[in-house]
Amino acid sequence: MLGEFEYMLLNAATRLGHAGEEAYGAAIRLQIEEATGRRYSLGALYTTLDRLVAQGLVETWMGEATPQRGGRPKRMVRVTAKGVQAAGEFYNAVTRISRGMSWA
Amino acid sequence: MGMTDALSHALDPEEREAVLGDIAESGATANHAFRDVLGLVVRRQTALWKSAWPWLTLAGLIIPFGLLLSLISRRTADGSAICLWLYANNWDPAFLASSLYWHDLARHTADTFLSFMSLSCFSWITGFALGTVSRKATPMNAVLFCLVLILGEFVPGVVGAARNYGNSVVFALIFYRVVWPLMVQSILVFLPALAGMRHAWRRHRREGKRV
Repeated sequence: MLGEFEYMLLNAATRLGHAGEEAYGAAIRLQIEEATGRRYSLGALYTTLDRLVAQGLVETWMGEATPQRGGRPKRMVRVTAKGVQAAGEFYNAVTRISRGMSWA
Repeated sequence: MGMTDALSHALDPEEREAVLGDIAESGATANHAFRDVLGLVVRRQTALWKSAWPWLTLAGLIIPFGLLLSLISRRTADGSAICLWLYANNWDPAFLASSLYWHDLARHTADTFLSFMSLSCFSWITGFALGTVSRKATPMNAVLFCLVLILGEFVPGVVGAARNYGNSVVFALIFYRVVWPLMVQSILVFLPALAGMRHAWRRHRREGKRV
């Protein structure tokens, strides 16, 4: 079962991919921060990313460098089929356990 | 950003590039950038301690050699402090006419130089060994080595015997008791050890090792 931050990372990377945008460290962090309204460290992001890579839930590779990054490359992220399945299971579990609940 | 850049060298080259790029792109303040990189470095370094190697390095290299170097450094500092006190605090122009003075000065200078060279070479080799064991763990090893050197000063018996045999007048001076040993340890132990670690670390990088 995924952790909360792992799920958010998979979700953000998939969402960026669906929108035709590049999924990489800074973009994923921005997505998560906009959704949650809180700041996450790069340390949390990159160590979680490594954990997901080790579990085969995402693939990463070094992408292109851009001027706004000071000519430094991006660490690109792609969610694998196994990652999509794990995110789906997490989402379904949260949905099931939340059925009939009202937090308002 | 200078400190962030320096700290980021503790990361793998590829990860360093990606992280510094993310920081540049996000327009983070220098404070946030430093905290981000520091957080990642700490996470990476602590993760290494899940394997046996760092513990073996600590028990087999850092603690024994750190304590040994601390002991030798203190003894070297105390021995040279007595010579320094003899010549610097008791100098008289009349000595210049004495051939015995010149003879003793030459002997003491040669002895001190040899002991300083031996200590710094030993320190460099220890640092090189520490850097060779693991590139990734080098930053943490450097911090731990420095801590052991400092702790070594408090181990009973490390304080040199030279202080007890009629040399109390020398070590009554705070310079010879505190400042000089610190200078000797910093210049002849810590800096050469750091240089040795840096040399090994750069060799790892040139060879592209990710150990």
